[in-house]
Parts: sequence; C-alpha cells; structure tokens
Amino acid sequence: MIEHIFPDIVDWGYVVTSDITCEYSCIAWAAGDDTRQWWPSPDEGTAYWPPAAPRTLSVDAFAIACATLGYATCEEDDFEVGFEKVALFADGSGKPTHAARQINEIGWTSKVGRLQDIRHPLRALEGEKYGRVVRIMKRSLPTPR
Amino acid sequence: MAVVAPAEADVATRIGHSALRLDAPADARALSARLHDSDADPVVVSGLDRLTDDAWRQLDRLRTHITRDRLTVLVLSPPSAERLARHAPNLASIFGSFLRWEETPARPAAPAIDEAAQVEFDRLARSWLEETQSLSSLTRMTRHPAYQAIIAMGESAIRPILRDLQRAPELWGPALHAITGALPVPAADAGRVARVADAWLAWGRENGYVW
Repeated sequence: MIEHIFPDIVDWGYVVTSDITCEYSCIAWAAGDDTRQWWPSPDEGTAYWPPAAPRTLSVDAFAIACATLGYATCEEDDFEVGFEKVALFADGSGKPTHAARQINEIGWTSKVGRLQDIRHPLRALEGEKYGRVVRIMKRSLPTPR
Repeated sequence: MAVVAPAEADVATRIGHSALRLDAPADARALSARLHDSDADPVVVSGLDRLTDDAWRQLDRLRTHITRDRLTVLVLSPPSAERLARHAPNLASIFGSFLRWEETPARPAAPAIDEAAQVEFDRLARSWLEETQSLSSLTRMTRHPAYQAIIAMGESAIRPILRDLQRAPELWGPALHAITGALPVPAADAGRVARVADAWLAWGRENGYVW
C-alpha cells in the first residue's frame, strides 16, 4: 500500500514500523504524540492543536506548534548528535501537508495518513502526495546524567 | 403516596407495569373495601374527582382500612388534593407530602434508518477512505468531494455515520459537526479518536437516534 502511494520509495528504501491506525496524525507523531490527532482544523474536537499555536493552515502555524515543544528553525537536515529534528512538508501552494521526525543519522520516521508509521530517508516522501520539505526545526535532547 | 396530576396523566404506566389501576367508586365504603382487599403493589387510584366532600370525610374516618403495608398512590387533581387536605386531614397526614406530577415531553419515535441513505453513505465512505488514506492533512481529508457529499446528505447521513462510528472510530466528527452544529466532545478529549467517537455516539443516543 505504501509503495502504491509512493512508487519510488522502494528505491529509496523504507521499513514499516507500526500497524495501520487513525489514532494519531503525522504532525502528532512528529511531535512524539501517538495518542491523538493533531491538526489546526476548526476547534470542534476532532483534532488537538497546541493552544499557543494559531489554528491556521500555514507552515508558520506548524512551526509555532513545534516551537511549543522546544523546536527552533535550523538550516540543515543532517543528523546532529544531541539534537532532535522535525521536517515540515508543504504543497505547491505552501499549505502544510506532512511532518516527519528524525530518528538517527540515516533515517526519519513518518505517520503516513491513516496508514502505518514508516522509517525512511527524508526526501523519499517528497513528490506529488506531500510536496516538498520546506522547513527543518531542531531541539536539544535531554543531556544524559 | 399522593400525586397531584392532570386527569390525562398516565401515572400507572410511569410507576410500572405491575401497578393495579383502580378507578375510584364514588362511595367511600366501596373504595375503602377495594383497597383493603387488594394485595396489589402498588395500587394507583384515579377518578377521585367524583368523591364528594362527605365521601372524603367518610374516607377520613375509614383511614385505617385504607392504609396498607403496600404502596397506594392517589392521583389527585388540584381541587381533589385541596378537598383531601380539608375534609380528610388525618388521611392526608398518612400519605405525607403531595408529589406534583411533572410531564416530560414525549420524545418522538426515532425513524427507522433510511436504507437508501445507508447505501449512499457506504459508497461515499468507501471512496473517501480509499482516496484519502495516505493524506496527513485533515483539511484535505474533509474537503474531499466524497466527504463533502456525505455532509450534503444532511440529516439522512447521521445514522449511517453513527453506525460506522459504532463499528470503529473514524474521523467523522467534522461531518457530524457540519450537519448538526453540535459540539459534544470535551476539550480534554480533542483529537483522541476513540473518545471523540464515544462523545458523538453519546450525543446520538441523547438526541434519540437509533442505529
């Protein structure tokens, strides 16, 4: 099913890492929350959105939502020891479409719609479905004691 | 128990199917005898408007024959309640305080599910699920033509949606909100798909929907 949606992903390489579920969304998963849907839709209960972030469909609103978790915009998507990164995707009109979270130097993790989580190279999900990566954000990981 | 209620109130049905309905005779002795001889529990006595003031006074004197170790409910109109209190004060004191009957508006019977609407919903839902399963954007999901068509079904889509939610939680909240305007999901449960579904199912039951 993933390969039907992203025909080129086989060439990039990917691994399915969960069962199919609609319990959480991509941005929730990128934020580390697998208990609920996140989305800046009108506030009628279907989706959670950080109160400090505007309920608007914009990359800036998504960036503010990530900022509530300690993320700040950075330039590079390469892996940096001691940091955790998220990537925001947007379509041709600049509307947010997806978010992914970096897990190590070779992989990112994404919740694909109402399907599974997958581990993948970041650029493997760029294309017709999700547009392209438009912003990278990072935060410091807690220092081990 | 004494209940002050309009004549048309069906007190016996409200109390329970096991209640004995007794239409009071005008003669106090006859009424006293029927209550005394009845083992029913409860007995609901109506038609007390036909008792005269003298009949009430006679019932007051016969009160030991009327009181039972089982429940007796006197259904009284306001004038009868006043006559009981005035002409049978000892009997009134046995019954204690008078309960005022509260009519609740009858809930209209929920219509059977519209089979044509169910078929149409199933078709649109299948299309929507297949074509949006990879989308992360809730905005794009709910703007999908099939989802919008379900919203456009209006009232006829509510039962099929609730039936689908009963089967498995899905992102039908925006559709139900668009159709009904309701906001049943507690803020603390926002985004928790199963709890959102439960909130809408509870809303459906509270509003008389059967699916």
